[in-house]
Amino acid sequence: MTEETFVRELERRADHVHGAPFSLDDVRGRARSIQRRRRAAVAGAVAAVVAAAIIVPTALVGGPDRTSPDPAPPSPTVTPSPSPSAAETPGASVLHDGVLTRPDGSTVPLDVDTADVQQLGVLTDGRIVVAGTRPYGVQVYSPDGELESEHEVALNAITMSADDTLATWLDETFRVVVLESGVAEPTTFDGGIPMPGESPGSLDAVLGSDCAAGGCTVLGGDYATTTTEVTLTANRDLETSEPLRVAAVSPDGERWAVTFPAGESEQFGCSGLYDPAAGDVVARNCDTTLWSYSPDGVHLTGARGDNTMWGSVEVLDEDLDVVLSYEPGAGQVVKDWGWADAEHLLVVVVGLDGESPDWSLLRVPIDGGDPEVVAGPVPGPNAEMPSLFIVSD
Amino acid sequence: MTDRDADFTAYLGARQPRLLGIAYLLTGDRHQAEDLLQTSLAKLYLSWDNIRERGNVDAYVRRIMVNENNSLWRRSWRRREVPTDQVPDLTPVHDSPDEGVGAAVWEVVQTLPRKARAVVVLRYYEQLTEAETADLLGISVGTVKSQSSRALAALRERTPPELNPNSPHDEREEER
Repeated sequence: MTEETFVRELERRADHVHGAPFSLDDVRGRARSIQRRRRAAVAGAVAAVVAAAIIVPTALVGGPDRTSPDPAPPSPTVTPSPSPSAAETPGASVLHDGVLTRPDGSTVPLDVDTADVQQLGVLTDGRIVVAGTRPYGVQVYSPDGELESEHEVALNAITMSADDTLATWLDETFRVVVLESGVAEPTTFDGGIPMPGESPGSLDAVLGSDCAAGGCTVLGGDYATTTTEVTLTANRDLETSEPLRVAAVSPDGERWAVTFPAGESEQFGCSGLYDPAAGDVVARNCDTTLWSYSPDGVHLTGARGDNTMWGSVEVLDEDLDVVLSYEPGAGQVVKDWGWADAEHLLVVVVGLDGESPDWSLLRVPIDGGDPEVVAGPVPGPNAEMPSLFIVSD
Repeated sequence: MTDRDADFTAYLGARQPRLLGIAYLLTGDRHQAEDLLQTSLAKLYLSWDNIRERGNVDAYVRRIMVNENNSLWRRSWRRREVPTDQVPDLTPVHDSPDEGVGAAVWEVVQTLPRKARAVVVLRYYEQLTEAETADLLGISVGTVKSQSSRALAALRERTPPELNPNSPHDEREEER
C-alpha cells in the first residue's frame, strides 16, 4: 500500500458527492447569521461578566438560588396532559411516520417529518419538545400534538433532565432557555454558554425545579468538558476533580455519568461515574462511552460509534460492569436507543447493505432475553441518514 | 451585483465542488459536509476583501474548514446533534458497494482521530506538502509524518492480502 493508494481512493470517494450546492444568497444568509451571533456573543459576554460580579452562584445539584434578586413572578401553568398517567410513565417515547408512541402505548399524531427531527423530548406534563432542522429551531407541541410555540435557537439541540421535567436549549443569543413541566412559558436565563467566536457551547445537563424562581441549574461546556454552571441570574466555573463532561445525571441527582477527554491520539476517552457532592470519580470504564441512566437509576447505557452508527449497545451496572452487550444481527448496526422501562431498551437497528435497507424498532430485555420486534422491518434510507424511528431523550 | 459579489460567485463556481469533496472526507457524512461547507464559505465571504487581496484563498478556506470541522465534531458528540441548517436537496451521495481497497481506505479514514484524519485528507487528497499541512494544522512536520505513516500502516493491516500488491500473499503468488 502506498501513498498513491490513498490519493486514488480518496479522490474516488470524494467524487461521490457532486455539484455546488450553495448559491451566493445561501452563503450570504449564513454569513448574516454568523454576524448576528458574533454581535450577540459580545453582548452576552459583557452581561455575564456583570452578572458574575454581583451574584454569588448556587450549589451544583440544584436548589433555589437564594441570592437571586427579585425572582420573576410565577409563570402560568399549562393545561395538564389529557392522559397524565401516560405522560408520567417512565421510559422513552418513539416518533415514527408522524405518530408519537408513548411508553404506555398511547399515541398522538405529530405533524413533523421524522427526517427533520434532530432530537425529541417528552415532558411529564405531556408536552412534546422537538429540535428540528426544517424549520431550524425548537418546537413545542401540546400533549395532543398541536404546535404550541416555536423558538429560534443557536443550535438545534435540546437537553432533558433525568426525570423529564425540564427541557433546555440555547436561544439565538446563546442564552439558556428552560421549559419546565407544568409551566406554560419557558424561562430564559440571564447567562448562556457561548464559546469563543460565534459557536454555541454544549448543554450537558439540567437540574432542579421552579426555574422561574431560580431553582434550576444548567451545566454546560465546550463539548469536551463541562466547565460552567448556569443559574437564572449567574454563571460560574464548575470545579471538578479532573476535566470531564457530564453525559447524564442519575434520577436522584447523586451521580453523574461522565466522559473524560480523549488523548491526542485517541478517538474516545474513558467514561466514569462521578459523585458531585464528594468530588470523586467512583467508577471508571475505558471500553465504552456512557450515555443514559435507566429510569430507576440502577443501570446505564454505553456505546461507541461514528457517523451516528453503533456496533453495539452495552448496559452497565453501578460499578460500570457490563451486564448486557446487545449486538444487532449480521449486516446491521444500531442507529438509536433509549430506555423502554427500567428492564428493557428500545433499540433502532438498520441494515448496511443495499440502497433501501430495512429499519426495525426492537424491545430488548436487559436480562439477556430475546429481543421483540416492536415495529418494522420497513425499508428506508441508508444507515448514515436520519433515523426512521426517533427515540426520545 | 457588486464586483465583490461577482468575484465571490466566480470562486464558488470554480472551487465549490472540490471544497465539498474536502468537507465530505473530513466529516464522512453528506449533511455534515454541506453544513461545514456552507459555514466555511460564509466565513470566507465575511473576510473576502482581506483574503482576496492577500491571495491564496484556498489556503484560507481549508484552514476554516479544518477548524470548523473540529467545532462541528464537538457539537456532534451527542447522538443526533448534527447542526445542519437549511439543507438543500442535492444530488444524492452514491455509496456504491466497494469491498476492496477503496472500502479499506475509507474504513481507515473514518476510524482515525479527527486531527489525523485532517492530515490524511490534506496530504493525500489536497496533496499539500508536509510543511504546508503542518502549517495549516498548526502542528509540527514530525507530527504530520508520524500520523501519515500510521494511517498507511493501518491501511496495510486492514487491506485484504489479495488486494495488497505488496503483501506476502502476492509475493508468494509470484514465487509460484
